[in-house]
Amino acid sequence: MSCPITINRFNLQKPNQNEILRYAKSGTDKASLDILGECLSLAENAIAPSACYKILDLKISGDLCDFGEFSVISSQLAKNLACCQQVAVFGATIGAEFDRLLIKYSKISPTRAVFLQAIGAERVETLCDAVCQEIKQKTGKALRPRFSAGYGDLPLETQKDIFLYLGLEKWLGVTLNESLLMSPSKSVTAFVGIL
Amino acid sequence: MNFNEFLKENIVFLDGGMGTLLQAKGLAAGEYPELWNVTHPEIIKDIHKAYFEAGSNVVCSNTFGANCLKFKDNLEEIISAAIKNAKSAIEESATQGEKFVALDIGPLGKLLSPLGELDFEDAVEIFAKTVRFGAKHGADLVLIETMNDSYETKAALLAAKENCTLPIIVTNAYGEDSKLMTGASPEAMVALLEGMGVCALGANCSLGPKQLKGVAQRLLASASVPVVLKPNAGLPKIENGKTVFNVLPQEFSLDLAELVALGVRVVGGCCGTTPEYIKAVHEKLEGKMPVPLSAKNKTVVSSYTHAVEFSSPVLIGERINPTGKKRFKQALIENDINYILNEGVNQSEAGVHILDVNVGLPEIDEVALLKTAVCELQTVTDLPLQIDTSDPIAMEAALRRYNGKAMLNSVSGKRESMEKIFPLAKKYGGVIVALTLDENGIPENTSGRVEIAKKILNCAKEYGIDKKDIVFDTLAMTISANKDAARVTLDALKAITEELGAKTSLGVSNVSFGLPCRDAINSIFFSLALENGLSAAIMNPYSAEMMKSYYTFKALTGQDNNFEEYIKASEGFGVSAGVQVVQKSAEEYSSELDHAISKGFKEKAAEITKQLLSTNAPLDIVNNEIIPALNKVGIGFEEKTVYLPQLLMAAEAAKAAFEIIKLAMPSGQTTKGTFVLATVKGDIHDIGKNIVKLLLENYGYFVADLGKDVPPQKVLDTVLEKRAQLLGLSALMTTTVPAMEETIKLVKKQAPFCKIIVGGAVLTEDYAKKIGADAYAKDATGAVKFAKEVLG
Repeated sequence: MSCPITINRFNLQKPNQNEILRYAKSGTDKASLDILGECLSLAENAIAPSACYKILDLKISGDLCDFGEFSVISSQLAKNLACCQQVAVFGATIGAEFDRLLIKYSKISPTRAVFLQAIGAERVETLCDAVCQEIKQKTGKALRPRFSAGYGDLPLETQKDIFLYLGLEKWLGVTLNESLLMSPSKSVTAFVGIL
Repeated sequence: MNFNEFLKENIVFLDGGMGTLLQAKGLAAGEYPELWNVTHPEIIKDIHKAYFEAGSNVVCSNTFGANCLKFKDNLEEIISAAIKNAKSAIEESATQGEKFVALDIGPLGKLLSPLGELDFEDAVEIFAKTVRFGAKHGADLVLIETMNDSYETKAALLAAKENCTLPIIVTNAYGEDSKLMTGASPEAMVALLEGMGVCALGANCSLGPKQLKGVAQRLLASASVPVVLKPNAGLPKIENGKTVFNVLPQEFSLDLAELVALGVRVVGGCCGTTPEYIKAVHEKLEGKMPVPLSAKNKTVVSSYTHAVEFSSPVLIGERINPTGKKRFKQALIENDINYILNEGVNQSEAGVHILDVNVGLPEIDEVALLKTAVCELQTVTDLPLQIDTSDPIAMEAALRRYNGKAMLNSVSGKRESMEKIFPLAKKYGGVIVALTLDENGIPENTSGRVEIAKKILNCAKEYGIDKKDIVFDTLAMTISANKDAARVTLDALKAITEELGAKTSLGVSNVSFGLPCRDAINSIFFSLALENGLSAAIMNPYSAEMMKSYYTFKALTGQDNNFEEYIKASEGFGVSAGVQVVQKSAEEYSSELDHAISKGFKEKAAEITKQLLSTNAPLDIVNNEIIPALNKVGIGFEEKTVYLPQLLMAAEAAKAAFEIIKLAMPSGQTTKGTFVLATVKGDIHDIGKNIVKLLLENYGYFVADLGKDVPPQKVLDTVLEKRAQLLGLSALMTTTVPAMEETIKLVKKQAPFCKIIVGGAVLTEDYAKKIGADAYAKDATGAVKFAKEVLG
């Protein structure tokens, strides 16, 4: 079991406010924007994006996607990865300190908690884009859209394999609970086909 | 020679990586390396032997992940085999030098609550099993490593202390930001670990020696015990499709030698390092003398993020304390933790460095409440806490759960008090507030108080507690009873500071008891105390006069570079807290309070409510102002003219108004009925549930919020205990809806009087009916409507 490539430094693009407002189901009135601004500055110091990935050789036969180190059965993933010889599997998180903010504000200010949730969702999405960009640069090849455990017919249980083979606990400090939820909560794992 | 003696005089060489070597020998991806202790003992022994022959004094048993979560049935077999393999390697290796086996303990792979779900005590018990087997089978020391969370580190360390007498080393995994993943700085970890008595501490894994230099320097500047460094062989990169590390043995040894010259005394390697690396390090450093240890003598407390050193005056917020506070007492009796949390957050924003936590009232279970308060406060503030109780059992319950090195308030010169408190400080670490009184009471003169301080120091020494971990309180007494009281306190303060070289603390506000305009006296007394050497004050941070004294003192005594703190604080000097000019409301609002609530102006809503109370009955304000304003916002939300955040802001403003109303009403008269609320077992999403709670409280219902991941039986017990007519359950995930159904069945059977309403992302009206709920709410306003139908 080789260790994955880890990246601890990301210069993420600035938060996309419209996207955050959409996630928060918020209007664009001044009061909402003020609180959004406040939450963005709270979040800024609490976000520590990091990610790790492995590039694996891929064999597809029917619905079976064989990554060498492990395999899964999913017709939709097989379809997503058709034409790919290799696949990147990655884990990414914006870190545990952001969860502390969520926990704090869900207790003392639900308004801010809603905005922080939305910011976290936007940030982790942006992080995933950055990870894919990195993989794209490293391989010099085009990528298929990301595909995560729980999408379509790819079982959520696949998370267990991804955690085991990427060593996400060790490299990112991300853990999986018995309901297969990740902590820190703003974390993502995914397969990305390499064309 | 035992390990502690060896550590005192020598540079200690640890081993390097294990995983990479096992993979080279055929360990399959996903296979547990610990199993190989039993299945491939020769290979494991040979690796240990190779390290001893490369110069290691200590090898770590192959037990990084050996815990009962992974090895339910064969944990002892694995640990005993692991220790045996390492011991055989000692016997078989021909090289000179002292050799030891460390029981290696790594993280559990589960985050502790509140960030994850693993309970602190469960974590302690899991680690305890590993420690007991390791000690039983002959480990020479315990090495807790790669911990990226301070709370889990504490759980492992506590388990080791409680289950063996071996020396304990702890190393943490720091990121590139020089913090642990869950936020702790190197200084915070030194405070926690030294406080609990480790024999050495340091950093391992995550980065190479160059990247860990900054962390190593910070550890060296704070720690009085030996510092350990066990870095990776640089950072991993891909070469020809394989992962390799980018620092080779020669460079690695040069980097480590540089750090040893700075003071690191225990060295080894982590991921990517092999016996070759250790050999290179050993050759470079063999025969060298370590840099001598120096006691830092810093008085330091810590939280899960940072340390607070008593090097310039420290402010300790006194507001979490029921003494003389009617509203606070009511909150304690009603188990209203949120009230305590808000006091914590507000004081933190007012600028204190530490929060005193006192929840002692005769009619409550102080042990349980203090523990809960300490746990909950740690979810909303990163300030260190001062645990304030006269009950040693409550003190221990809170200290155990505290994520850092706490302050203990307090011990006195009474034998009985010292015998109870000092062992707790020794076990859990902490800085102790020591009151200069004893069996004979409070001495009326300075020398009497100084004598008691000396007595306390001597006794502390017997328990192995250092002077730096004691802060003397020379007891501010009211001058209204004795005009010389302040003088004696100040003189004792000066004497203890100068003659004993110890730190001091005062509960400043006591000095003015019984006199008018107390702030005036308190703030000048505070300035005088600071001038006489006061290190910390337990004080009211909402008092502008007190804060002025503090910032002015620092500015006048050269402790405020460029007057940055003073200038920043001075912006607030002119205005007393909470009072703002109320603007004329726009015409579309029926009243100023309606305007403030609709617009979500919290402070304004509270202020207007205060004014209204002088001419209106509390309940009239609720019925004529607050509820109509909320109704209007609620209707707007349903009609989609008001967005969710605006609804919430209005609700928060209404809550602020309610807080003022509560102060004016006798307790028990504020509620229209009880609503039990819970996120079902297995589910940890609670933002939606919290919104429902906020709105229900706004409408005057008493909400018993059981939190998230709540077992069905607990829901039922609460419904029965409160005779609650309404129960709200939430579930976000399809996987947890069965738990909701189970809860409904149980409650319907045992408490048929209770109506149940459900909500959550995956639920629908139909589905709610199917699982037996009385109603479904698509959002928080729906829950309020239902409550109105049932309870009025």
